[in-house]
Amino acid sequence: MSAAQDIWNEISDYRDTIHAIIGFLNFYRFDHKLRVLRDDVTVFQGRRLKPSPAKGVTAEGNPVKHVTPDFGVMHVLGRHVLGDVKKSFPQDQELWQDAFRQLMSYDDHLTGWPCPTGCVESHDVVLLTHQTRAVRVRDYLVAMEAAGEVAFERPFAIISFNQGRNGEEHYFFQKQHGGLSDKDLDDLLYEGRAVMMKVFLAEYSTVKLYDAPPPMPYLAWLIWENVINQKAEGDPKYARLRARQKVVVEVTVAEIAKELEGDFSFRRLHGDNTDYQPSIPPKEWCVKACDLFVRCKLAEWFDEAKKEKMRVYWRRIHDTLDYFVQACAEETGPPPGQLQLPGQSVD
Amino acid sequence: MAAFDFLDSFYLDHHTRRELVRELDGVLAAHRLTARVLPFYSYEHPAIWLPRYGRPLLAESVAETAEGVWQFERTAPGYPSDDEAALRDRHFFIYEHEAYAGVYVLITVADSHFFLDLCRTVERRYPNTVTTFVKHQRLLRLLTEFRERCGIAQLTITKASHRARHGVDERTGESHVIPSVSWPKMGLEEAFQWLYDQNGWFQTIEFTARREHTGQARISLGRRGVVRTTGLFPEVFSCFVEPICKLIHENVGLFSGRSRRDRPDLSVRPLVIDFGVDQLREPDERRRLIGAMRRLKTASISVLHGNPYVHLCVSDYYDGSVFDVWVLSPREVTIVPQMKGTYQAIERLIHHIFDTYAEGHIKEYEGRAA
Repeated sequence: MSAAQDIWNEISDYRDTIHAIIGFLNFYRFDHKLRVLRDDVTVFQGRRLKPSPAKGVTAEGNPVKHVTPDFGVMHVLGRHVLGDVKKSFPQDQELWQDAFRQLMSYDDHLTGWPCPTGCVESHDVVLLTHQTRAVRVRDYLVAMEAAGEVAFERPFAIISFNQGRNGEEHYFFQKQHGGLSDKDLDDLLYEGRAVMMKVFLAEYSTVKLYDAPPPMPYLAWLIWENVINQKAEGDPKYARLRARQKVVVEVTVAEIAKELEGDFSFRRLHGDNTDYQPSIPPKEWCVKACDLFVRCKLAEWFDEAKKEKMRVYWRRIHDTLDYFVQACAEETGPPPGQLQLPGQSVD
Repeated sequence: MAAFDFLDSFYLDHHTRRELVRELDGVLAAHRLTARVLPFYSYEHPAIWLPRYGRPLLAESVAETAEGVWQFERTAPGYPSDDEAALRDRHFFIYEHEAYAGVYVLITVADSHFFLDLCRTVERRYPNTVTTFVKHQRLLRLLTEFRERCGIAQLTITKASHRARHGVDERTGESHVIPSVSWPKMGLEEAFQWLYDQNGWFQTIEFTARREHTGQARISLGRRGVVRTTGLFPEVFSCFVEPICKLIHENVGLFSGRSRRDRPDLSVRPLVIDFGVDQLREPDERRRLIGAMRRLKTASISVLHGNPYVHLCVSDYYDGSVFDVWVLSPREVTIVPQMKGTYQAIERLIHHIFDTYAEGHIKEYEGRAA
């Protein structure tokens, strides 16, 4: 597989993860009887929760400041949830235990929930994984539970997901193992449930980042089209620009991070930031994407040491995402040659 | 000479909108002239910006006649048909539609070079001015209604400029639109069906219309809403220009206010193109759509996902509007304007899809708004 192909796969995985989080949270957000979004359910992504004293230290004796589940739900009826999405697992099963250690760290009396006390009585723990991995992950878990390596005190479930099409595009969720404390939802997911993608089109179009670092070409594309482009557009030359002409734009990393967070993160779903809810994307990610602009000779730092502000030479790029993918692929691997984008194979 | 005097007196009169339409018919008959009409949308009144735009002028006069009808007289050097008579006729009228704010009608009986120059002047005013596009089926409907409402006994298409949407080039992945001109001498339904079967659309359609008892005209109707006629002006105006003004007004309403930044909660206001049939069921069709989108040279097109669902990002080079374009259902393309999604850029994007892929019905997205 070429370096570019690897990057396209990473981008596809990243977006699938966001879609899976949005789709799964919808089971809690949407009132299926009244057909409306519930306003008594709070969802969050990338929130930091503080472990109890019992789990506040690792086996090696290091303090654990916080745990950060991929998603969380605070439900008015007490059916709270914390969970992770792992679309893929490494080939080496030895490494799978890390994922379950992470999940076991959520099986705790955590503080920092978005409620006045910061605590909830109990909650479920959920692993969302791709359908192609779900059976092997379930078998692994069963073996590890039998060996006493993995154990959950709170309700735990493995939910598989996959993107499919039966008339219309959808994500299909199905319980593979364990159980949820919400009996109705547990029954629903036992049989499996398809959620139509077009229902979530608004969320898919406004949430493009979550708290895991995205593939760099994807973040560079997002910044280029939605921050740099928007600033360049204010220049009178913008509409009449020829192929080799440029519009010079000055932008700070702080501006980039702020705009992306306001426009394309989960913040719109979980509200303002607090100490528990860090900003996404952090500036460090944006600096890396800006470094890519510099390497592509599309920008230069005002101060290379500080990397706080840059001058960008905006120009027309006909397929911006592909441009940054190819640029990164050339840095990391041999020339890619003829590429087939993941999700673009139509044969 | 008498004819010129009559034309002069026509230009000297202070016409209201209705008088202008009615009396132009007499001018066309007396002078064997062609009336040319361009309906368009403008943020500012053209009387403000028109004098400053277009070719260098030898002279120009602008005056408001009556009821907001503005009469322009401009003389510019270098038209191929320049002669004394042509120079005398370089008048045009502009007025704002009485029912549709911001929709203007430009009318002239001057020659085609002069009219094309005016059209280019209006287009150059972009993004403050926008013309429209008339879908293939709507074009047929306009013509059918014209025939029925105006007692047209015979309507024969004499010349047609049309485009056929063709498949994807396997090598480049691009789809093609093949332009051609023909003289089909066909009846209305036959010509439209023939072009529909070719997966094409009319750029301009020229026809002769003959009434049962009296009156006939050579008429042309363009996809961009340009109307030309040698007679039957009130009927042509009522059946073609008025509906096109209404179409512009409706599209402005439908396409405007879609930017996320227009809304305090930054939520999206998507639009859906509904093809009415499962047009995008097969992978080849989705590939053809992507190929058609890649032909849009006025925007950056990034393909985030191509199959089974389609997700593109379109970034408009003219004004920086950004759109997500999704295919999540075999009969629909959904356009989601991002922080900036102007009326003009939406119009351009939809027009491109209609021109190069297929036409559909534009409607509001009925899903949930985040």
